[in-house]
Amino acid sequence: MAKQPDKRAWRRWAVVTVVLLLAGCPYPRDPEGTFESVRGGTLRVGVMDSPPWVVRTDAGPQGVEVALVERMARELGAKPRWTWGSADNHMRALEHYQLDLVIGGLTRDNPWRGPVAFTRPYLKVPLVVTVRSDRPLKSISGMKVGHRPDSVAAHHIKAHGGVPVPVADPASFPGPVALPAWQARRYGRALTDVVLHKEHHVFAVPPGENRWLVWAERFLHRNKGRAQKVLEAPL
Amino acid sequence: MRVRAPYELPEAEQRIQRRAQRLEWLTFFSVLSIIVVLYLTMAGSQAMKAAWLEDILALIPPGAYLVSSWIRDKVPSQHFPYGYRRIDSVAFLAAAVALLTVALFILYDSSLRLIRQEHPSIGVMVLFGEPVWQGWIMIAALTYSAIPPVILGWLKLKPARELHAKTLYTDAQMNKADWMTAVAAMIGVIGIGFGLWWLDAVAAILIGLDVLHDGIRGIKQSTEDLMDRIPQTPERAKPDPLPGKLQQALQDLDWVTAAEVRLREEGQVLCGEAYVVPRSEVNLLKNIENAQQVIEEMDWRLYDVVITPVPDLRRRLESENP
Repeated sequence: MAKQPDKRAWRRWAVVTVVLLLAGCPYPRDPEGTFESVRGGTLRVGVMDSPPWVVRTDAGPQGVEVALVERMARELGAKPRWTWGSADNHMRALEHYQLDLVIGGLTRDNPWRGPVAFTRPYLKVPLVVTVRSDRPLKSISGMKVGHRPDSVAAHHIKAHGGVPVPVADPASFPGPVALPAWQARRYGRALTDVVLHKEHHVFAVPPGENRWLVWAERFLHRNKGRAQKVLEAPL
Repeated sequence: MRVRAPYELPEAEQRIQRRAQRLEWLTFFSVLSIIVVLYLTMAGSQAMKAAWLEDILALIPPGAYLVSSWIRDKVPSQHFPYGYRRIDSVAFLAAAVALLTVALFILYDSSLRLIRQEHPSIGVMVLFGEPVWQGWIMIAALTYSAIPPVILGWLKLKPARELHAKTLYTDAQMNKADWMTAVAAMIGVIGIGFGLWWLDAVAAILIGLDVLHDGIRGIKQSTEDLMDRIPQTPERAKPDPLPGKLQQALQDLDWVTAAEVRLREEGQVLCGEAYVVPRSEVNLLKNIENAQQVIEEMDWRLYDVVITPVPDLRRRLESENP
């Protein structure tokens, strides 16, 4: 059994290596040093116009996600530098480490998964069927359901068997209207139990910069309720 | 067509075989649980993906063994007059080809990522309300993935040797080496933690090479088995001593002047022909019948050895050549 001592030595070496490696850094490192360059320095943010998450105004970017990022920058002692552009431009810049963060209503199901990294969802927004009065609604099968003309709700209405109808003013539409949950109050409508879809909102970060990613995710976890509060604040 | 007599494993070996089957069922389900755990924690690590794929493959040898166990013991029929004992080698070959295919995929996938310089991203997972770096969870999952296969592999070696079951033996060897896959994947994840993004792809490539080696070796062995190569021991692939023993036993019979034996492996059993040169033709049929009895009682691994009386051991071919 000449092989046995060799195998035992192998095993010992493997265990020692693993233990030594684990004894090192408590958190992951950034191959491109993003976190170190942001902390106390400049936070380069790619922004895309997407109300209410990011809104382009004369006074610079505003919105739910902008508020979060400004808070992030304060915690990091960094100065945010906003760059407007398309998703395509921003993602490529992010991929090549020209940007530190990209925001603008990004959701988890987006086509940029491979080349770029995304945080865990910081907010889940349900697309709900709303009604004028407290009339209980169990399903929309075969019903005409209204939706804002600029929203992708039509697809989800069809998926649940409804007939999508574009509606200019959701407040006055007599039938049910599919809206993101937080918009219900604005149009004076009540929520039903029919949830058509859930949007998982995320931030985009450069690929492989795991220290930065972990810090951002921890920040978003700490500030979980903030985004929801800003969303639901009266206009 | 004359149908072979069915094969009966002796009581002691039957018990060992039942134990082996229980161990293989246990292996099957524990590997299944490992696959689920690894899938849930995989995230962006290439090395973990390779380890996960290797574990999916690890379902095939026990699966193949259990399926072939069921088919192998069927009684020979008119349609299969030689019986079903070859199914072992067939199942082994199928498993080895699967291993080879996935190994090539792992190598291709990981090399591509290395060349493209893709940096793997691993963020946090929220456990009991606390955000924890997913790398730690992956390491824990990999540690779990190393333990049951190593224990089961070690337990299966003895029955595999006793039953001369090559498939079971190779499966046990692969299981025992699973700790190496887990360590390689761990090194990949730790590498990512240290900012060494390329270490993950390298670890995945090493795992791929290991699986490739298993696949190639399995294809070689099972193909040779199916081509009736000389019987070998499952361990160091040395020639099996049993054919020699049989030949000697036949030569020792008092009515035999010389004897030669030609055997092949059919799964765990040996089958073939024995050529005997009798001293005289008196009582030849009775002598042959007695010799069959001797063979049967000699070793449980001898199945269906046909005794042919010949005038001499010179090969027919020599006299037929012009």
